Amino acid sequence: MVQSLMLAAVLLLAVAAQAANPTVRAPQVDTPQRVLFVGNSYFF
Amino acid sequence: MHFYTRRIALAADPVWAKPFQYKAATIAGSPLAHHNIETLTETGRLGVNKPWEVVILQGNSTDALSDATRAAFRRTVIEFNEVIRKRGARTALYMTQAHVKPSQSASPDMMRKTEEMYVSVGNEIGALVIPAGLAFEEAYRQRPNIKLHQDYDGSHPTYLGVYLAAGTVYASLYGKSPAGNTYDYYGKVSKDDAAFLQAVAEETVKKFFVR
Repeated sequence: MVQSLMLAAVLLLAVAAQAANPTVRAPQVDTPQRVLFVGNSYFF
Repeated sequence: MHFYTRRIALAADPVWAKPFQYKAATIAGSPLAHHNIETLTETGRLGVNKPWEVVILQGNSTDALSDATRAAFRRTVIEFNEVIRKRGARTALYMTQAHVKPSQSASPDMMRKTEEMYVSVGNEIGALVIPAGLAFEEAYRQRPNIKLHQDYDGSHPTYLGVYLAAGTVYASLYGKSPAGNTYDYYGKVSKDDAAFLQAVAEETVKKFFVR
């Protein structure tokens, strides 16, 4: 019983530590040819 | 970044990628809100005479670290997405990498906060999230000594970091693996590093979109 509770707690913590899953799971444009990057010096 | 990504696409298939047109509109040290998205996305304004198909937005790398900057990032992305959709394009979000030392912002939870911010805002507006930051994290997990960040600030990417990020952008945008791609930044990226970084980009994108 105690072991089951501990396992459940560990699983809950593991789930909580991960961000939500992405709902968009594939490219939304088939082979985009014109792509604009907007940002800062990370894009240099 | 956009040059690297295009060169990966060209190396994969020169005929397929020949018509690809990429541009980068960057303001160093600025949050996303400083960009005039109306002007930037206007057809023809940046020398591309057809409408943009995808606009990739990237926030400041420390945006996820405070409530105020996280809220500002969300507000700006929602506002920019409305303009982008009005132009007939789709928004994608570029998840930045966590900092490492000597950056003052480096912390064990920086990547989790950044990931949470990008995924939640991406889900809210229905945008593709490009998991570049997660690729950095995975590459360091497998090879702790690889240099993906600049030594001087622990924030900006080295050419290996940009190579990894570009492979992640390519895999996310086109649903294709960069593994085996011959682009090597004009001989600067060794065969071993290229194969490793391509594999990490491929694995990261695969895992991110099926989890």
